[in-house]
Amino acid sequence: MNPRWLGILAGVLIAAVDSPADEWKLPPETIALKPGKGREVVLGQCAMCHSLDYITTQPPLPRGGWVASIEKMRSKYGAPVPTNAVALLADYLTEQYGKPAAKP
Amino acid sequence: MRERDLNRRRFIRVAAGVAGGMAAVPGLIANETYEMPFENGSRELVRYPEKRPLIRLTSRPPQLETPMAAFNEGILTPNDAFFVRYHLAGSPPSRDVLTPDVFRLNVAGAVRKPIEISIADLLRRFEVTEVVAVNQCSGNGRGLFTPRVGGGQMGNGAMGCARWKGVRLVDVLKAAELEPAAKQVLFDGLDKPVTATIPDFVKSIELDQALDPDLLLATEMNGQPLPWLNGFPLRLVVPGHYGTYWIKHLHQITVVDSSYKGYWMDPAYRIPDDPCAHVEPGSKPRRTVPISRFNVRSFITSLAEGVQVRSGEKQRVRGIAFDGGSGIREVTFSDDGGKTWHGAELGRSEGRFGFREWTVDWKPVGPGERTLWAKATNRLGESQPLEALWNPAGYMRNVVEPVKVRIV
Repeated sequence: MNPRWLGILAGVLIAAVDSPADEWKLPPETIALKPGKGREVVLGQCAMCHSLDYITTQPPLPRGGWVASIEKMRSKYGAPVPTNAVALLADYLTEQYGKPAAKP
Repeated sequence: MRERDLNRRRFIRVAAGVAGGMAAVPGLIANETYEMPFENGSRELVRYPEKRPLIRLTSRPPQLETPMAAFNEGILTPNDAFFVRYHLAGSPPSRDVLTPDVFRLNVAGAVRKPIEISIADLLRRFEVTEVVAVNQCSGNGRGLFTPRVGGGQMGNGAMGCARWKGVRLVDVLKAAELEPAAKQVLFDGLDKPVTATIPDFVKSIELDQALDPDLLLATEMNGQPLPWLNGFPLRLVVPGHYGTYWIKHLHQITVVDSSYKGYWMDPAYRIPDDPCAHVEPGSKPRRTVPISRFNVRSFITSLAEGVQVRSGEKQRVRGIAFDGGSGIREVTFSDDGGKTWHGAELGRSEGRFGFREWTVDWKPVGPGERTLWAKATNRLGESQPLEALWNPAGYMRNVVEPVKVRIV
């Protein structure tokens, strides 16, 4: 067979084999976190177990709400977040996705 | 921002930001967005396997919500529009472990004759039956809570109604021959946590409820095998009860002689121990119980928030109503914010667990903005509150949902 035809045939076969696998592929995660101090720590600690839209779709929680959420991840789901990282995580989340404390 | 302004902003548009960020990546198509009527409610519309573009709340694990317009297509929610909710990031399970050659349902624990059975044998050995039933997420409408609560921020699209086909759970349990000490039945699916410290998603049901012939082990919805993301090849169907019990990719049924204390039964998925499952906004319940049956809900589906209608032109307003299984007795409609109510006509019943269609003639008189309300009452006389009830987990929303339209 003409090598050109062989190439086209191979292409068709690859496409045919490819499509069933593609059919069961999940679309990619598209959420990026806002820049800010602590962002890298949040990425490292949170994205291991869930996509970042778990953070970005929350209502603007006060700092206490974010702390409660981090503590739930630690105590209920065993997230290996070191104690000394909690404040940094909570600061970033409150600053970028939360409700800053009301001014006195 | 005021809710009224947010409501006006509820429309679908191309997300310029997302499109801009992704245009350079070959093979990625920019997703459209869907605006929820609450703060921080902008969502991508994303196409998943076997699904039309749905409102994506989260991607790992996937949580997808049905756009409200789909509920106007009929009382059965199309499979490709049906909502998706997972808890564990190891979800959905790979297709490899779900294929007929590999997949087995196991029934074990306090039984004399444990069962290990393929889907084909399950359908051969036990009588196959059907039920039309609503599945609804416990937190459906959580994003609409005021004050806002943490958790999955959904609008009202985490619900759907399908014709489920399968075998009765009671028949399978009887074939396994329960031991006298049997007290509860546990259900586990093949979706798994990503670390050993995260509790596996296991739910328990009291034995007397598990023996109710309404409960099915379903292999099909709406005449098709279950979609991958809705539990293929087998899921538990608990008509009238919240989706948390409808275990997907169900592979393990364990009969136990004690009360299960797993995380997903306690402290998760608990409601205040009060007839209306509510507490004073901002406060904590003194005592909680596991969430169970749906309360009464109804929705206007033929008119979306913010649409324009012509003054003086009569139209048929359509919607759906459902409850936890007593059946819908009455739906009333108001175009003046609840001052006067008009009886709607109920459509054909597909059984007491399904969506019930209702329609009512309405002649808009304008111009101006009007708030439309629909309110359902079930056969027990239970109805919907005009003021939203609140609980800290954001469960069981069933307030009368207003739809504001503009008469021109």
